[in-house]
Amino acid sequence: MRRVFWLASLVLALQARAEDRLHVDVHGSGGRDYQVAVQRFSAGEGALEFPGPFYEELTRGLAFSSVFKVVDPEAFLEPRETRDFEARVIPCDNWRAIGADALVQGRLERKQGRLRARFQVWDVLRCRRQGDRQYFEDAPEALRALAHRVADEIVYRFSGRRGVSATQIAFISDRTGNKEVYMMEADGSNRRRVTGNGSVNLFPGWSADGATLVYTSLREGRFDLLTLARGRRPAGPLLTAPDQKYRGVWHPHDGTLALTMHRDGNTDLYTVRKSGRKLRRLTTSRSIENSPTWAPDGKQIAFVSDRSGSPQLYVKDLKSGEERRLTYRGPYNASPAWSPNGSWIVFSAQTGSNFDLYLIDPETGYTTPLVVHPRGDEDAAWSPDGRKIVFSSSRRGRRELYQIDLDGRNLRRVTSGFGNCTNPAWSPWLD
Amino acid sequence: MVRKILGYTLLAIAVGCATGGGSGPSGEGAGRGEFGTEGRSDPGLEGARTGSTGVEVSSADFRTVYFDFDESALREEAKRDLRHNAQVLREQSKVRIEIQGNCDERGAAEYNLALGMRRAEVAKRYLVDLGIDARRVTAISFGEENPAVRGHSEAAWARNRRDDFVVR
Repeated sequence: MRRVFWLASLVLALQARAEDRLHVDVHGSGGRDYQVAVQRFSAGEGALEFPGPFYEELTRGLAFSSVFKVVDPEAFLEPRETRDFEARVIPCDNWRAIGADALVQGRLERKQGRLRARFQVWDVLRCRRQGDRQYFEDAPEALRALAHRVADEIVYRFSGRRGVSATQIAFISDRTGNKEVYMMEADGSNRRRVTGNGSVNLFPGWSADGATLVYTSLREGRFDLLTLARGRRPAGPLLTAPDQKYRGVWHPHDGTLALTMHRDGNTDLYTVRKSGRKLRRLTTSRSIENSPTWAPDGKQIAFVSDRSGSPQLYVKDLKSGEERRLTYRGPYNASPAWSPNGSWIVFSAQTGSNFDLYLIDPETGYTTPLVVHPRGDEDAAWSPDGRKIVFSSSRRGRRELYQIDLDGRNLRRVTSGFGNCTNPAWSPWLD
Repeated sequence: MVRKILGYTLLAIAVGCATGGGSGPSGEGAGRGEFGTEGRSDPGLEGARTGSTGVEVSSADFRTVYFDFDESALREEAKRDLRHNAQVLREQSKVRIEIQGNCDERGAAEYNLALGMRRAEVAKRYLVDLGIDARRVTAISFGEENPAVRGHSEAAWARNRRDDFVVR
């Protein structure tokens, strides 16, 4: 990895560049993660109680990235705290000696009631600052989110892709005895309930700007789509049509919603504007069409149809209207989710009486398992950077949420003792 | 569980009417910029059944119809039970029913919503073919969300792949 790092540095150094950022493919190089040393941030007046908790959240956010491993401060040859944030040079040898690739320094200040986190990142191998000094600020109560934003920016500076520790995951839990919508941080912390209608709620999905959730609810006695906006506005139906609607999925950029609806004796895919207008039917066969997922450019939709006699994946081109079949193997393929960069569709495939997760290349149809052995994995959803997949699994009995990196590393359980958890939906970046 | 959902259904309709179909106030304690807890609080389980239909038949007079895995075709005994249900409807010409299609827990939850609807509609069509006025019968799906019995055995699954007939 270190050699790759150097090589990439060299290549970049030779290129005239507007942006001083490395674009190293961290995965697939067979190497190790970046080692990042974090000097606890110094504190200005009124901010003395923050450096401890901020350090905890910042290092959690960095570790969550799968890009960095955090160096144990016990190993430091230099102070554990940032002493001179304004210094123009640092003793790079002392950081290299403990195996660090990167060093993070910073200062927390109180500005008009807001908490400001100033920070800088050093590439200690090249002994130069990686990007400019920068700051983010937020309310002091939002320290966790603030620290995670800093972490995600540091991940961007070293990998070219912003981290996702400051994002959120919506999901369904039955812990109250009813399936309700919940929300949590990307790492599984800070869970809170979002709906309380005592009915059945399913399939939360995020709008492109992260400001609105759509979900399926039995609140009014039949399944319908409700939307819930940030703030205190109550949830309301999206479409007034009395037909049953099973799932809504928002377009990756504009306000269009793809949905599964039962109308005229058949379940088909439709699209509709955010306003509830311009309903358009996409599929017309007598079979069941459902589970739409948008390509990242919004020009194609992958979905499930049983027109061949069993549920299989298909792709529809919205402009030409052309549909093509994607999966041919297995008796039951379902729940496709298109990756943010378009390269993969993750889906669940029946193996025996259970499901496992697979990745399929939507261009070639090449298919590879995401998780090889443990059975009972479903409901996969991508992180906005495409590095991670969150899914539900019954491998330990109850259905719980897990995360895994696209390359199969860093499997971790995100929920436990929280009822049965299903239908995870990863938010976009929220600022 | 069937009763529970039915109860909720009736209550939701009742509450929906009472509030003009709108939703209640959003929950307390929602932070700024947060998603608030959605309007209605738990209605509670008991007392939710209104029993206000005022007719002489109840849902218990109808027979539940069962299906094979991933199928919505009617078996012979299903047709027999549907003929029975049609007879009840003929004898009580004022009664309206809702056919609720259900699936077992296997397969994708979203697909099962559509499959449950197929099961409800195939039964409705059969009743209509037997001369029942289509306006007396509505079909909805609960997918795999309303199992009659808990459990992960074939015996449990077989009892969950069904149409319930509920007097409205």
